[in-house]
Amino acid sequence: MSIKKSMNDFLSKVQNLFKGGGEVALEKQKKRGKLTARERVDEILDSGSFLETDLFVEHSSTDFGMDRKKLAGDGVVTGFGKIDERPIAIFAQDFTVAGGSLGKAHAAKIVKIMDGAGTKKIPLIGINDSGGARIQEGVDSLYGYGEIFLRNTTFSGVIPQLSLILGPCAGGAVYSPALTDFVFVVEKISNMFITGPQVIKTVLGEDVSAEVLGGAQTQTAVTGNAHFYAKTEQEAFGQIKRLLSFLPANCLEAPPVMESKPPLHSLPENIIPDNRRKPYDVTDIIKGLVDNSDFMQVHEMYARNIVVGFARMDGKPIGIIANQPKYLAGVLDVNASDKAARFIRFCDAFGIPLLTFVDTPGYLPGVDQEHSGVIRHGAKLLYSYSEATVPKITVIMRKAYGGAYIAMCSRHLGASSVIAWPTAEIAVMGAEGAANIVFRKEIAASDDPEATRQQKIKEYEDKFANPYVAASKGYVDILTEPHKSRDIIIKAFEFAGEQDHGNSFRRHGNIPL
Amino acid sequence: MSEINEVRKLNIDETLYETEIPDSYGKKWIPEDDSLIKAFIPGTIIEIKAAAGSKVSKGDILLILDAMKMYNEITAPFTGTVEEVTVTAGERVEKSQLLVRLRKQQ
Repeated sequence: MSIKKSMNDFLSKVQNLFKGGGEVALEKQKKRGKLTARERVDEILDSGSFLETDLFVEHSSTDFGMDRKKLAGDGVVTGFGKIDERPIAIFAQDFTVAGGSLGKAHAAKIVKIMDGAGTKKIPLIGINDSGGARIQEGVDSLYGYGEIFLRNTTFSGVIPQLSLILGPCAGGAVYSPALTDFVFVVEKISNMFITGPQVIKTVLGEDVSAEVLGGAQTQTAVTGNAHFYAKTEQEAFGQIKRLLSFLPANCLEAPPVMESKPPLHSLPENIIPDNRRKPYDVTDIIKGLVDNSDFMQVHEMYARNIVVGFARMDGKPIGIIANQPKYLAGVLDVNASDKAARFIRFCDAFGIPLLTFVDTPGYLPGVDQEHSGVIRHGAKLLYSYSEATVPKITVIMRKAYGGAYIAMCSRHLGASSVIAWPTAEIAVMGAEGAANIVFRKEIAASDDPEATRQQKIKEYEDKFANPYVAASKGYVDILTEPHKSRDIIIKAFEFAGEQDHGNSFRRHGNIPL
Repeated sequence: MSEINEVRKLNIDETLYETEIPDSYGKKWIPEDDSLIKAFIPGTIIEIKAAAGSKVSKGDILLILDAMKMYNEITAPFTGTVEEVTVTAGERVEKSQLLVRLRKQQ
């Protein structure tokens, strides 16, 4: 064969493989409002940086007529590339090829790129758009999923793993994204569930659409399975780039430092309302303190009584956890505990220091909370804060009551520094509840119980609703005003080192799940 | 996006906080009435073993519900008397449909 012919053969093969499932299938993909696998990879990565691997991989399945079927790239595009000039590994399932179904060769390609990410210690991005297991390949496709789950777990806490759900992701397939650090979903495109609407209709007689059952809104606002919600694929790609800008490539590398920038607006001095029963939006405080007022929320629509996300202070990435008085008074509950605990553990795994803002009246009362296991779930928050060895700075803004005070990264759970504002109230509970218990007999014996009650509440408030009792015992390290807090927090982080719990001999702890 | 909630008052330790509260919070909790035996899953009644008026002991099989490729034995949660059987053999039942009404032994 002449050189010219072999070159031409090669080029025509590549051209064919690039067509994925063919022009009709590609057209169908477009009609669904979706980009193709290759377009997605190109849009996420820095222009021209993609190095594709395993384009020529083929399946070896022979049952059910599979021996006569050629599947381009076996339905998945894999390779390496760069985002903002930093290397990453990526795979994108190609729905136009046999519905993006996962067979043995398809899985082997994903496994290979995962191993590449693991050994090179660079982030992994997975784009999921697949009908599920390739039934014709039988147990081989199950083997494939298992191999992927194993690697998701092995590389957890070693490299950041990001999952984009850009199409259906059902049955066993959902568990790879679920094992990764962050899941991104897009309105009207993403669907995730274990059993789909059809099965639920057959078995339970319940009518539910795919969108309501496991669409983008459901996964971000109801289940918390997904962390980021976008209206378009492009918006999701932007979110991925922004998120990666806060993260190190692996657990051994320091998070990327940028130039320090002041907040866009400073904190007004009356940011905390006079009346302790009045709400405010804690994100206004966060944005008034962090670099460039740039705060990227994670799980923004889930468990809104706690706010978590990434920002920078003095150019260095930090993870922020804050009670949100605007929603459910900023109480801790089952979902808020889960949300915060998962975020804290991610930050700790990747050496991102934690900054906690406290204004919480306690735990949410109710049969539903108790029966949902608020004890077990609340314990995750205590565990993850206590376990974290990264620098931990806590700012007590207003209410820090009882068990919730302890849980929100108190000095007792190993905070590097606790800072409190003059408006802080660090006490075992709110004045009303405390006065009713402490002065129960006096109130009952009074000629005017209500007047006595109010007087006792006032007494309790004057004595305990402040930061000074806790500061006098050394439970608060630094008292400062809100508008001076940025400088103090930056200094506190500067002096806070990595903690050593002295238990590196242990295999791992046993976090309550 | 998320549910829109009006600002309401949330009682934590007798202090009333003004805040957004989801509609799902604060619904009155109603304990389950365990004398009403209901289908935990939709399916077909294969066999009825309990008759109205008969005495049953805790653990006795009341009826058999074919669902999820399994003959599920529905048993008495306590010792008592069968007041009423509200389904017949061969009947298809919905989820949470009442099957048997029991009365506790006093």
